[in-house]
Amino acid sequence: MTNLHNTPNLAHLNLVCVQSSLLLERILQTLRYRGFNVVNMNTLEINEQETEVNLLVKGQAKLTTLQKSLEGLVEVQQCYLTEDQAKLATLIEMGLPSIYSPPPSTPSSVLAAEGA
Amino acid sequence: MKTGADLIIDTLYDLGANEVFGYPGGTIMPVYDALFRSLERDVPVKHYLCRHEQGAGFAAVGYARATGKTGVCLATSGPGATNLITALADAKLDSVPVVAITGQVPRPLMGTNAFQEVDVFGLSVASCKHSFQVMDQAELEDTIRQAFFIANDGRPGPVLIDIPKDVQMNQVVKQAPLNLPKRTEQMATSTQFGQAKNLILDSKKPMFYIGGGVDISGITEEFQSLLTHCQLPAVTTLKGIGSVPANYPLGMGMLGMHGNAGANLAVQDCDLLIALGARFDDRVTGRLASFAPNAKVLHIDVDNSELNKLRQVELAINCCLETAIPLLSKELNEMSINEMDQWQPWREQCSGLKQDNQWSYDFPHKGIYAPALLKQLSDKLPESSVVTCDVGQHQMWVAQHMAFNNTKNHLSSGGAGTMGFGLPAAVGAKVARPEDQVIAVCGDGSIMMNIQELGTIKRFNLGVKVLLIDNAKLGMVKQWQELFFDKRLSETDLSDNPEFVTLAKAFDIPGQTITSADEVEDALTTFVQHQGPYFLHVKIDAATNVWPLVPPGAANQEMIDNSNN
Repeated sequence: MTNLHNTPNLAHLNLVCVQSSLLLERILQTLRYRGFNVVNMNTLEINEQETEVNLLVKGQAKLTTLQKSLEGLVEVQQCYLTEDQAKLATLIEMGLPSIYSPPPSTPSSVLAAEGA
Repeated sequence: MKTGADLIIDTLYDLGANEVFGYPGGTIMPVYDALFRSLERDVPVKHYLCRHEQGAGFAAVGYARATGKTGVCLATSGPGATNLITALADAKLDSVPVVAITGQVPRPLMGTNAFQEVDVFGLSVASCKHSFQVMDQAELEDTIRQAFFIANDGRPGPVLIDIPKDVQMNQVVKQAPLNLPKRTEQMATSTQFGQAKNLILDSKKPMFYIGGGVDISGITEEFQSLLTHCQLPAVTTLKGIGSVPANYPLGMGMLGMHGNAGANLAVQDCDLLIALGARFDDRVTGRLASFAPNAKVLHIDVDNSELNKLRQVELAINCCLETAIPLLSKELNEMSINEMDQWQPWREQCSGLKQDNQWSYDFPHKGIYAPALLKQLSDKLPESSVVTCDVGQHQMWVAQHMAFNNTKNHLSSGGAGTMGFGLPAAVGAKVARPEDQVIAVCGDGSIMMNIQELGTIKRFNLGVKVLLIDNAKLGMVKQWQELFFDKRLSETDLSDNPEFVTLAKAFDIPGQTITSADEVEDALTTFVQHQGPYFLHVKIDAATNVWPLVPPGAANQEMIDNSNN
């Protein structure tokens, strides 16, 4: 019944955010607070208002809680999570998470709606 | 033309924040100058000068919690701002809408280790729901409006706005367009509430588990109607106390580490836990894997990140309770009497547990028994009274032995457990609700952490009553040392406390000290009836501990109770 995992989770998070000079500070604090470390990070300006942030993170805590917390940040408009370890291995080999475009996974709000 | 500081005051006034708490200093002086001129400018914002920024922060928290309005506090840069942080962290953990405005060194000096320069934005990121640093006076109004919106949207919390002094002083030539952020999305569907109904119908032993979210959503009355209709048992968290009426026959009281034994035993035996605005805190669950082991869980919460965070649940609904409870009521109101009769054996079981686990006030010793004292006080107070607490044994005794019918009347630092909360929170509550009795129940350890706020009470002649429960110890730590550290009482003795009533009198606050049980009745009568502030110092039996207690790492049915020893 507990959520504590014994093996570190590796995951890729793709965030679409409103531009803010203070954005990264908030994202990194959320990652650390929820028990994850950043393996790799990349940001890309989509347009004047929006920035894409790609994160490869590692940790033993619960990924869905991290995802929901990131979604709760005021600037974050979308947050997609990929846990597929084979894809992530390729991603690490390629070095830059930003060149990998993950398929939009099911947002947590839908999971909640499904009773997950 | 207005200055940035004028615009700050104008915007606060426009947002209804006409009572604020704070402490002036170098980089917030333009705002204090604008406050000074606010009456002549016809935007009267009353400032309550506290005696420490932490006091101002907790006063804002108390103001917000006693009313549901947004609390506002002001402080200067550097130490002024850092002193606010504890109160903001407290507000975050207890989901309290507070907006803190701090001065910052002028923009040209930022990053130079200027006098009283601290990166308060950086400090606040972890302790606030959101933080701003305004680098252009054109963005001031928009930012303040956003801060109020964010503080109250979805799960409430504190928002900090850091404003460099020159931004406050500059003329506002033009303003940025107002741009409120997105509202928290409500993802619940009617299908989910149908599923919720089925879960409840399929259960033989359903139990409501009520957290602070019910009151925060402003839906207590509707929830109580639902409870009355279903006649199901309910337990509350520390912050949920008051959401279930004190005289509700199936109200089992508070659960958890110092909860009522009946509440804990009933939860351990239930087969469905209906968690509303609660978060499965470790002080509630005990050993998580053993918490309500036979129960399916229906969890409804506005904060999506709380769902499935600790307990995997059968049905999670991410929804504000303001929306959810009427929908749940609609489903349950369609149930027939026969369907609801299936729970009669469970109701009788819970009634029996409640009856068998009533609090006892028999005390064989000579001294003053704190639980009985608080029960007597509770019986004397008008129902509308507000009681604030510090943190420790007295806090748990208040939760156990005082009756509340409104969560806004019981202000206790739940998540953060901040000693020193009670006195300044009472200041804020009394400012917000001047017609109601406001009692600060303090411990002798806790009160010393913000005792300077007696000065605020005196300055504004606030009728705050202080009930100091004094065992000359850091009682809760001492209790754990006795139980879990082989009675090695390390640094918990406070026998060199000051003469508290003399100290109160130095602030022109009358009071008295009592030491024996036969003095209690008269002293409490004087305490309740006195007009204006009063300080009642009660030296209690120092050996009394808080029972029952679920030891750390134990399951809730493994609680221990040595109250007869």
